[in-house]
Amino acid sequence: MNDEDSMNEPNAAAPSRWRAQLSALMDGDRHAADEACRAWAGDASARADWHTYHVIGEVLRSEDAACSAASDARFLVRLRERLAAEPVVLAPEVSRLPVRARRAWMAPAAVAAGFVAVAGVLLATRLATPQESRDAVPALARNPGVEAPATALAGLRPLPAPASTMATDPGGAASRDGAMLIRDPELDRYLAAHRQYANASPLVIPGGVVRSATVVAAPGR
Amino acid sequence: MTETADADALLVERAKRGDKRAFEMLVVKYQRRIERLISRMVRDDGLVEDVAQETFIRAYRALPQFRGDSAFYTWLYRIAVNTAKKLLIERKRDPLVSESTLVSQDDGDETSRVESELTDGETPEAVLASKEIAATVNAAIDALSEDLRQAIVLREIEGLSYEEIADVMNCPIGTVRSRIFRAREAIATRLRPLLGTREGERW
Repeated sequence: MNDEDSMNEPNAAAPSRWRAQLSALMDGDRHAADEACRAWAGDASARADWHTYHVIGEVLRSEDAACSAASDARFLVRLRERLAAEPVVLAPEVSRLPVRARRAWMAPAAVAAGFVAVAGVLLATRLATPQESRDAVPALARNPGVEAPATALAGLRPLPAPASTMATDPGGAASRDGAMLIRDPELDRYLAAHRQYANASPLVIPGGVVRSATVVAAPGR
Repeated sequence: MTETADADALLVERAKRGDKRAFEMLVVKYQRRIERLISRMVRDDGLVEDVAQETFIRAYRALPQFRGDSAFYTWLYRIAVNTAKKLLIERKRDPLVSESTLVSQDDGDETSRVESELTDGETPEAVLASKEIAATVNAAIDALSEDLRQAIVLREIEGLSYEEIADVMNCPIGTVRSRIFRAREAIATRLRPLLGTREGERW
């Protein structure tokens, strides 16, 4: 559709069609939005109609509203040039409804990631219990590199731990009954170890803590 | 009414999705109000349009931050006020700027004053055109049938929704929509020649 379309016979009906849609959109009819916006984008006379309808409303509300109405097209043309230079920063990003949808899967994903992290810590700490037999976790125990960090972590026990997390028996109970009380104290040790490694070497990533401990501790066993 | 919403919200939503044309529709809707607002703050008429342009550019840039907590015009109004204030402060601080912009306010300089007046909407011609537009609209309203006149008055002056107008006029919503459109068209037919939008300036 171009600016001349409204002058051509085959499109003679088009203006009245889009004018009705422009009028409805002005009044907030969302069903009119698509067609009205399309008409605006594609036809100069549709833009003029949109302007004229608004001027009518303004004049009805206040007669001094018509001051610049005759030169409004110039204002828009000038602004459009500047707008063209503006990046479309707005585009598909946040501000739309899908935000909720995105959160909907992000939250469970974050929770799942949390569980994986906790499970990893628990696995390491279970192995950390000296009394526990290798048979209890055969698949992993067969790999000495995995078991070793337990020793390394156990060696860190003297590190101070927050009283609140060390419910009853800091460390001791964990050794006697790792399956039950192991969680908090060991998690604390894990964090302490993580802090230590993080300070010691920037190359050690969180996931690599256990493995690097292995290298250090293995010869000592 | 489930099918109607705030027209601004519909257009803002589109503009936020990157549709600059939808933003232009909002510009055309509010340009005159914004210019009137600015003209009460910035006495230099030659600057009113510049500040209005800057207002809309800033609004476009800030659109992602517009959450719809307030009406779009309220938000735009604030941007216009801030833009005008910033300009006034700059004029006080920057002697070069104030020299060039204050000249048009100086009554002693006839030439500059005339030039400035010619660029804004307050020229005698513009005032005359404005009066003519108002007279034309009023005459067109008077010529409408009672149904059409009541429908557009309830919509444009009273600000009622289609649903409310349907209640008042005791007719279907579709009839309200059609009456308002026909009223607008009848007035627009008389107004178009005055707005110079058919030939001359292009949109």
